[in-house]
Amino acid sequence: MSDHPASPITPDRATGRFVRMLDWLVANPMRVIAGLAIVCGLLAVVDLLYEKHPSVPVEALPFFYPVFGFVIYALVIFGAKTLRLIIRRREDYYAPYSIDAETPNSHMTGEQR
Amino acid sequence: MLATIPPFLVYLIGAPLALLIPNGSLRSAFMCLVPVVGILLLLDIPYGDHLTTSIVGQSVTLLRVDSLSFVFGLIFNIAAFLALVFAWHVRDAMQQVSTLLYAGSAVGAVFCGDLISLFVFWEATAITSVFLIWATRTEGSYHTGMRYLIIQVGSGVILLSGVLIQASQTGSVAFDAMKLDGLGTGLIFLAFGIKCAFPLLHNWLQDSYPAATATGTVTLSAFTTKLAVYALARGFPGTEVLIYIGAVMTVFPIFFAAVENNLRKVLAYSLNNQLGFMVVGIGVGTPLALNGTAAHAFCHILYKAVLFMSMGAVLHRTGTTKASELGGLYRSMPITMVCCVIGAASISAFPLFSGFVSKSLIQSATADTGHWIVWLVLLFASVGVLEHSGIKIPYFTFFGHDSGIRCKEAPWNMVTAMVLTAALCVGIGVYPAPLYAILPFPVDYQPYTVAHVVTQLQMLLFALLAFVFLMRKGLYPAEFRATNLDFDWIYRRALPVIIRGLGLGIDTVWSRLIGGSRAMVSASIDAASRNFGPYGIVGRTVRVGNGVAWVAVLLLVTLLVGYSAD
Amino acid sequence: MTGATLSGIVPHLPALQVVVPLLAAPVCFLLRRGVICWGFATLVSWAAFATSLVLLQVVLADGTIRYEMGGWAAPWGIEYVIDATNAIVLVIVSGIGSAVMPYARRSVMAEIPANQHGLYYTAYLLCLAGLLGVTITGDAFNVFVFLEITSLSSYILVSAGAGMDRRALTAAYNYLVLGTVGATFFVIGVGLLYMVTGTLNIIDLSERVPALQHNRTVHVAFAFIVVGMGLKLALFPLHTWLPNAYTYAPSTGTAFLAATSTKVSVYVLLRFLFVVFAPSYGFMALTLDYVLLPLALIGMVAATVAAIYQYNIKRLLAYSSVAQIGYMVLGIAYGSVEGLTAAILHLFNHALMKGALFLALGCIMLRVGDVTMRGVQGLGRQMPWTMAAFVTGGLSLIGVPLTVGFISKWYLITAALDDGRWPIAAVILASSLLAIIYVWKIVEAAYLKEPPEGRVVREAPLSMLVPTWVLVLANIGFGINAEFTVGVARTAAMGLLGGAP
Repeated sequence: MSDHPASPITPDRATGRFVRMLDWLVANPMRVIAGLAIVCGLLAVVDLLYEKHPSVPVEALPFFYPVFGFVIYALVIFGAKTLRLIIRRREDYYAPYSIDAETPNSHMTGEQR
Repeated sequence: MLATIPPFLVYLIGAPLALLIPNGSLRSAFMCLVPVVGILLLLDIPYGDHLTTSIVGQSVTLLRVDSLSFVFGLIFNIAAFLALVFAWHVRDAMQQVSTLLYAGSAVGAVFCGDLISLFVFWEATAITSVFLIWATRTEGSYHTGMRYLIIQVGSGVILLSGVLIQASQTGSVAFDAMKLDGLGTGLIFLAFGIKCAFPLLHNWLQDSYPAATATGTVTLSAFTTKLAVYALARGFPGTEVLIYIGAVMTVFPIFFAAVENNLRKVLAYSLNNQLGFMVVGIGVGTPLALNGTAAHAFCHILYKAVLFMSMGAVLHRTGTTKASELGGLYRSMPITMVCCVIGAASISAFPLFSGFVSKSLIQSATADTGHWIVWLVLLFASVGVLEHSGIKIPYFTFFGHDSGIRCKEAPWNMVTAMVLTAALCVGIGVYPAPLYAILPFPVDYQPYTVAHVVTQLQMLLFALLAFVFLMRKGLYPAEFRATNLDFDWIYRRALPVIIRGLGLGIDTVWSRLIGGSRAMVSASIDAASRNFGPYGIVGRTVRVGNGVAWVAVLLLVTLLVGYSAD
Repeated sequence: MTGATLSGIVPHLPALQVVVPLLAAPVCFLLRRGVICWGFATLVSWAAFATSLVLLQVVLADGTIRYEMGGWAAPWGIEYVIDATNAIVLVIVSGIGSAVMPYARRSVMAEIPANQHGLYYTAYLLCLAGLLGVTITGDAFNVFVFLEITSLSSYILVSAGAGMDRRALTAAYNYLVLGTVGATFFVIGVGLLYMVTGTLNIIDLSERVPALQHNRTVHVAFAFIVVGMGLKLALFPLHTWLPNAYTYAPSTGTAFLAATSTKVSVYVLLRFLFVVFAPSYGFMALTLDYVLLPLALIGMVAATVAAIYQYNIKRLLAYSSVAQIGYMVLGIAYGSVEGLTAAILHLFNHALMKGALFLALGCIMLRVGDVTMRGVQGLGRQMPWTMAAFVTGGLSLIGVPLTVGFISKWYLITAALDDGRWPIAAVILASSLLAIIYVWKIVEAAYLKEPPEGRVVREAPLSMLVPTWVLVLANIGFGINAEFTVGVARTAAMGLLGGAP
């Protein structure tokens, strides 16, 4: 089986370096977040610099897209959390007529035996 | 001569031939060759109607190649190739045959010039594809496949009903643009809608795709729903109600996807949401919008494939696709991770990725035609796509909380398929001109304007900022092992309970009436052998007496009817 | 020389069509030895098939043939009349016979005691002669005579299953009683007609009956003939004899009878309804609308539902036959050219489906000895060719495109829609969907279940597979190219309705 912690991997050199880079990023999340914030700040500034040709009136509003993106994202998350209050059931709710609670077997994963 | 071989025939012949080849790399290689031949044939066929014949008194065209069917036919062949490479290691003959026949049926359906042959291929896609679900070989997958089959075959039966009515009213079964104005076209529309996963008709999709095998879902995701999109684009372009159906479709799956734990089910919801964009494009019906639908279907098949492939690779290596069980896999499967992120960026429509150059065609078309509310809804949906496909899928699988799972990178064939597909996603995003060149209408559209790039980046990156913010604040919904209800609860739980309740009453009546008469009708062996033995004189006379009694009754009725005429 | 002989024979083919198998029966009885009888019966069947094909060709080219038996002119003598309608039925009957016979050797050896083989083939030849006679004759009383020949010989065919299961005797007895009632009703009807018209010749009857359309005796005769033939063709609810007879008869007997005998009865009903009693009569139109149509619809659904519950597959197919007869009667009940076309088309197509299915089942009977749901478990792998044949036949039964079943259903539904009878089209579709369930049950058992522990069976012998597959391929062939069958059916339908004043 493959779902137990397997033997240490031996990635080749290129992927190994790539993975170490990612390790560093994961270990320093604040740097990633800071980078994202800086890019976002730049994009907000750019909003004031170029000439808009709105195809829909709301597009002409200043900072429409940044605000829209941020607010709607939050709305989606809170909407989904509310929805989950209603629709969440135990994993074996439909068992045995559904795969929800089944552990995938070797046929499903395609792992050779 | 060569030009008139329909591409579906290659698959139809290829499937049994593949079985003659020893099961191994040789057979896999042969199978991968099938779609390649299909593409070569397709490129050779001139636009026009070929293979026209007649059946049940109606003209039937097996091969209609025009600019619309060409795009879908081409991408179906490409998708089949990529899926077969991805499934190179599969040695299950059931899946091998099913994949070829299913892809062939879909390719056949796209080139049908009439509704009768469309119906044939329509049902063929249903019957051939269910084996990809059954190939999982568990009780749950058996029942899931059964539900899938009933709904898919049901869609075909509804289609046939519509075709029959349409044929008797108009005398024609040609598959061209129709008006949604009668029972016939209404039923055809409904049949398309089922396969296209319209709201409330959608549950088969989320139910069945996560139940298929790791490789099977990749195949499933490419064909059935996009065939329905093609059928709608062919049959009902510019039908206004599609705009609103499509708009609803883009929105509601977002919320379900956000709280779903099984990542392949998240992708199924996401697939549903992407179909919404295409359906809106069909509803708008302008050349720009239809180009958008065709382009989006083309790109969508590819990035959806790469996403399902990456989840398939994860399932293959770790044995699960549940977000609650995964995390930190970038260490073990870095290439898979990169491909998945490319797919995620494509579906989220980041500039330089394929979704950016196709979705914007539809978005612009809604603005051009003054559908501002719909325009806003699509924008809303774009943020939602970023949430579940762009962030949730890669983040919870490859980053997030480290699950401690350490496994090998995906097998070489899976990596090859993923890299190829991801490369196509980037290629189309960077250089969309070849895709635009094969769209149904001439394209005069420039996706890369400063405004478009900037606004898109603003929206996506600020949404990403919101994700980071919510995550740090602990407001982001955690992943649990759970089953979330959807509309299918109505027919999986509520209806059976109601029916069982009614059943108690009906059952008595039923068993008295139908069962009773059945028992009377077939009182034969049971009564005779159990109570009286094979020669029991009582059993015998009662039975014959019954028969003769019916004769007498019927004679009386016939006489009365005859007499009443005078 | 042969050419001259052949062209000399052609005018007498109508007589030979019946006389050859009829005379062959006693010869077969004298031959006694099983294998010789089998060879003889096979040759006779093939000769009859060839004859019927020539006759069909002549009829399609030159129109109706009228042949006076023994040179006695009608109405004193007996006349054979062949038009498109009965020419196609002759082809069905002798064609199915020719397919079943090569198959019969192995199957009969396995299912019937050796000392009865000669008798069995004799009964088969008599039955064949009877069925062909009923179909070809133009004389109403002669129809009755041949019906009796058919019935008596088919009782023997059914009771020959007693070696496998004694219940075959009960089934045959039941069949005998009800069959006799049916034939008696029919002959009462014919007698009543003779009373008021003074003729037994069908063409003469069709000329004299119209003048008597308000005559009570004609009405009574009509009722007796409809009910009598309804019993013979197993119209729901007069089908009670059929499931048992088909279940307990030997495989070859079931395949032959299921594909032919009810079809011939349907033909007789067609002939009397539309030629003798023309449909313009008020009482007849009422009977079509208020008796046959509802019974056909109820039969289609009820028998299909009954089939779903069956455990024995032979019995399941028998109930399915009752439902399929409902489709034919439905087409008849429309009373339109389209309806009759659909009915005649289905007559032909259903013979192909049920022939193929029962032959495939016979293969299973030979190898497994059990044709229940348990018997077919896991057979998808153990007998792949047989099960593939069975599934194809099953698809045809459902009405899947590229099979004859689809063609039948298409014409039945469009005929209903042409008259604006939407609900009927819906019922046809619904009963097709129900048919999926019972076919699926068998597919599931054969392909998705494992065979019972320790059961190892081989594929059926070639001599049985080939005839089965000939019929299966005919299902597909006539399903893809239906122009010929539809053409003949339409010609026949127009001929039947054209006979009406």
